[in-house]
Amino acid sequence: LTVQLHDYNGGIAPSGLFWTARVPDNAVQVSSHAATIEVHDLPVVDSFQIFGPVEVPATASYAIRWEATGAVRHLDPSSDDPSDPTNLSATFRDVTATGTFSASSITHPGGGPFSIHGVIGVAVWGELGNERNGRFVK
Amino acid sequence: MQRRQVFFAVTLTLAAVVLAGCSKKPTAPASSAITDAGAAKLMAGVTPEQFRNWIAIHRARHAQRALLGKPEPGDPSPIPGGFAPGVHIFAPGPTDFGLQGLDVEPGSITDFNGFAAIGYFAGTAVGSDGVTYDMLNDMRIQKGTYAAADGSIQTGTFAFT
Repeated sequence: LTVQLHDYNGGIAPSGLFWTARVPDNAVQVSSHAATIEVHDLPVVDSFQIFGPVEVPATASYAIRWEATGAVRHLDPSSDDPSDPTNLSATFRDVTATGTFSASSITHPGGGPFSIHGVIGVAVWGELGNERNGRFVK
Repeated sequence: MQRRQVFFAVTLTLAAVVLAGCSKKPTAPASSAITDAGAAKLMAGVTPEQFRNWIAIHRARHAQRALLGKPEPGDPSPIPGGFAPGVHIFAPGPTDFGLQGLDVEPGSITDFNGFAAIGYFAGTAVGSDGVTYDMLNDMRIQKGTYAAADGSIQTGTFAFT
């Protein structure tokens, strides 16, 4: 039986922006075939379970490297509906990716502060590339 | 040492993927949801100093905006779609994994032109309690130009955690 005990995420902004936070531009480095991100003490929340009713302050630090391995895929919009998941123009490649992830919560169900450090391992799946969506899609 | 399992920063879809791959059964989160009374109990172990320190950390813009409910000039807008009401994110990836396909939007920001990357990770982590946990992560980045909610054209770098 699998039980989720922590869920660190970027929260949902009043605009609806989902689990997303601005980070310093130099936190993300991009080359023609690879990308890295390294952030420290990014303010997040721990909702313990995905979409859980309680959130407590938390921070996350992580470093991830994506490296393109697959063939280039060109995507053209399959729909004009902006809410459609295929309403984008993009060039993507599958990747291998690895990294580390640490997080700290102000408290947890066991009581008191809680922190964790882990190797997030090899990506089950991932991709990188360039995309245009919304008003930039055409 | 007892090995417990935990998901971190994981989408429902990713959970389905990994659970399927490991032949594990998903749990029903509502069965152990934390109530308001539970929240009070949860916070009971936090000292005022700890709380002040953490609030200080969360005076970062993102948390502050969430508390105030006011977007800042230049803030990006979420993608209009999503895989559930209020969940403005999709789950791109191989349909064999139960994901939505390789032609699906990976970003959370709309009116965007730039670089994007996504990775679904499965790993392990050691907690401050000494226990080793399973860890799943859905990590994404977007870096480029976007039209902000106020109509201005901006550049920025964003992380989906």
